[in-house]
Amino acid sequence: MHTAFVTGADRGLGLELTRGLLERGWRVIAGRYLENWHELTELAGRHEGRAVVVPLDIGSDRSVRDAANLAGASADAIDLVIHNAAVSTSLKDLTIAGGLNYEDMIRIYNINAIGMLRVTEALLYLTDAGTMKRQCIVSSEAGSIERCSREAWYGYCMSKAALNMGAVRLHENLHADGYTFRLLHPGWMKTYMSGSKNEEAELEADVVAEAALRYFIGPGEEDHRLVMKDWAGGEWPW
Amino acid sequence: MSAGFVVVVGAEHKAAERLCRLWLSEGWTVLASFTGEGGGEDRSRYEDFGGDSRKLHTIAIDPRDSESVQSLSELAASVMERIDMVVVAIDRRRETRLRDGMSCEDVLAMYEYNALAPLRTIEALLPLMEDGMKRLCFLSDVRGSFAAGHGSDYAGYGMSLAAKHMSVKIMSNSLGPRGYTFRILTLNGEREGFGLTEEAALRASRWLADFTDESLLKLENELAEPVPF
Repeated sequence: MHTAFVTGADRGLGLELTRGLLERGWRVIAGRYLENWHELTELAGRHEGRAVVVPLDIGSDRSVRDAANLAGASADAIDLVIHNAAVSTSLKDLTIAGGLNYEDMIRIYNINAIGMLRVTEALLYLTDAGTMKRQCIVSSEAGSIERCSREAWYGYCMSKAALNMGAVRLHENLHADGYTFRLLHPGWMKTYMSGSKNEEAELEADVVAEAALRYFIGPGEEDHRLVMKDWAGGEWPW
Repeated sequence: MSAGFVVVVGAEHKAAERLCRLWLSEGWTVLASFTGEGGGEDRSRYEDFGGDSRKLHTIAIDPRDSESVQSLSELAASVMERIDMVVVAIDRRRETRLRDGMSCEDVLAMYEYNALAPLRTIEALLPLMEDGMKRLCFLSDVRGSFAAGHGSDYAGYGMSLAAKHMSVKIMSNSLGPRGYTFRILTLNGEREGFGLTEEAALRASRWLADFTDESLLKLENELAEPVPF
């Protein structure tokens, strides 16, 4: 049985990825950020023995270390990590001419960009012991510098571009140790990134999760060449 | 190319120092702003620049602090009739070795310096650029390019530069219609002098300040080769 670690598993895409892995027979260690949101707890209860929920704030060194320790107490190895947790902001539309909010931009970067590094490092002793050594990162088209046509969204776009660069550099660093990476733009989903469910979006999280899991789990050219792909398999430029 | 008014932020950068010296020798008015910890030592290197000393102004600031950045803007307003070009050369670099105890604090600090500080300073200086040639320039590093085949020990640094490049792209989208143009000069910090020979420095100084080229956004290295993001 393979073991996966999923960050931001509380709801939306993270919850659906966790569900999909459990239905495939995986053991899943699911990171929970929201104490008062119960969907993940209910899901874990239906897969007792294979689902472990751990408190996890990827923006906190201590929280990530504690979660890694809990993961190590329940598994000898982790085969696949899905870096899904991320935040957005209500201050997206600020412009440089009007004045940016730098504290907010630091908060976003600490979570969206550095969070992935924290979790990767903390789980390294477990992923080194795994057979699959797969790192999966949920990014965004907002991180594509070449395709960017936005006039605002500084903090979020900068954090996703940095996340993509982090993935590229970790791939260089870990590839020789047998690690492979998957980098995903999940599309515009009906999720809770803004705090409440975005019903105007195009895609349901469970539909994207199904496509994502095929991409995350299967073999592919990405084993040798790191690219960002979307839920439909399209490649995105950096 | 006629002389103008340039503000250089991060003038302690070796390549920035060389560019300032060239521009000063060509009659530009240069406001050199130091953002490093060795502020006093950095400023003393500028004292033997020669040229018209009335055209060289210096100040030390903390680019992470809005009040400090505001003092830069106030000095610029007092010594320049306008700003034609801002060159941001702020550069903080630390290794990020995943297996050797990575410091997330360092990674965040690099973001604050390399990606956010340029935005803070440009935000403060923009009002003084409206009557100038509206050129915004950034010194960067090859490890900020996705296509660069190395840099694995500098993941945090590369991430901060990718963030900076994204911010430049967004700025070009929003300020381009107002006549602003953007240049990113990508150097190699692992080479002596950032790989900037005298010839390359002269070429770079002219490329950055070539206002006849109205291209919105260009990214080149010191050999005048285009560099992909």
